[in-house]
Amino acid sequence: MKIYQNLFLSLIFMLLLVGLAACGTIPAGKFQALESAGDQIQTTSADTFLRIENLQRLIYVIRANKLTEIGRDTFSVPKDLDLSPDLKYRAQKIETMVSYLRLLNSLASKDFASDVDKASQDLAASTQTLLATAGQKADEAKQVAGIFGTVIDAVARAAVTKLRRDILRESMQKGQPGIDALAKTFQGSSKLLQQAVATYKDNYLVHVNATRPKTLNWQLNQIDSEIANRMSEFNAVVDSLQGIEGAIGKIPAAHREVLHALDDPTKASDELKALLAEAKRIRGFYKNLTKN
Amino acid sequence: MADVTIPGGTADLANAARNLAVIYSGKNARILLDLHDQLTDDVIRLIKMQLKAEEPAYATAASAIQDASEYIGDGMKKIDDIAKGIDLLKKVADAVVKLVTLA
Repeated sequence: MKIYQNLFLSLIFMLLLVGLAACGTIPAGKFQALESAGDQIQTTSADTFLRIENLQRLIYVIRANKLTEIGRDTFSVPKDLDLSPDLKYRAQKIETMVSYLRLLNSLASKDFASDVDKASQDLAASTQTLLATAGQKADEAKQVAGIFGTVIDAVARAAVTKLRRDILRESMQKGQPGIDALAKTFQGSSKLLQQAVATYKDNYLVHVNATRPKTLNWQLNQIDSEIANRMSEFNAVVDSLQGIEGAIGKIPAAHREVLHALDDPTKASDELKALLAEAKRIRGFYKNLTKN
Repeated sequence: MADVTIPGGTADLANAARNLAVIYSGKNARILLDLHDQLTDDVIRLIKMQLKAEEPAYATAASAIQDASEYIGDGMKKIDDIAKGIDLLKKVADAVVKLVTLA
């Protein structure tokens, strides 16, 4: 009888331990997933923005076909038409988001102390670069930099005295408006970039049609193959821009969900799963293109 | 015409100029192709402006786009007076450049 009594007490003790562990557990995997999704979005964006810059330059190369003589600046994109500064600012906004997600993941990891300082400095550097590249969007950048500045301060102040979970909760509560604001700036502006790429696609088609050889031969097949690949690239860039906007739009809800998971690790993670699925999907747009 | 339709309307007219260039030949075709390039550049300028969230008065450009769109349509068939069509397209191209320069 005593054996059963001891077994029963042991069972109660184990259940208590499991319960206590659940209360204090940080869902580190969810923070890793958030950072991973951010990294994937950043990689795809960098690829897409580079392709836009290259396609824009291609337009000036192909337009030169109608010139009898090329000059020093024939292939340069005029400053008032150059999309590069706009793309760099967008890339910096994504970099700031990803730096913040990296900081959260550092805070959530077991041996966080060594990583947190570096991640805090990276986020501070990202917000400084965001301010430097903002141009006429200075107010927008200041708002975001201010919000993430309070996150960095909170982390630095609390790192010694508070429990990791409390630091994370405070950081995420302070960071949520920054994530919301950054994600919102991508809505709509992405459609403008899609329109720019679609416009260049039409212009490209006009000029290749004007210079494409009319005689059917092997060289024509090669030229048409190149044209087909370029047209696919234009389409893939438009799809990718749409996908990037969609994926970034899912970050705020996933962030909010992970914040709530700090207090309830058993909570379903549908928003985070949707973000991960979208981040993975947008990596595939350029798979079928022939390497140039 | 709402501001947001200006890049879209200009892009449609760039395509209309291209379509007319296929129908017509000689000098008019060359002018129309140059206008296609110019209007394409205008679309990019307008997009850059909107990306910067600058919102100057678009009234003149919007009106020029509306006039040209009504007269030329999609440029898939001959129009009554090609010289008038070219003039309307030139007005759009100039109005958009002026809009961007003033901004």
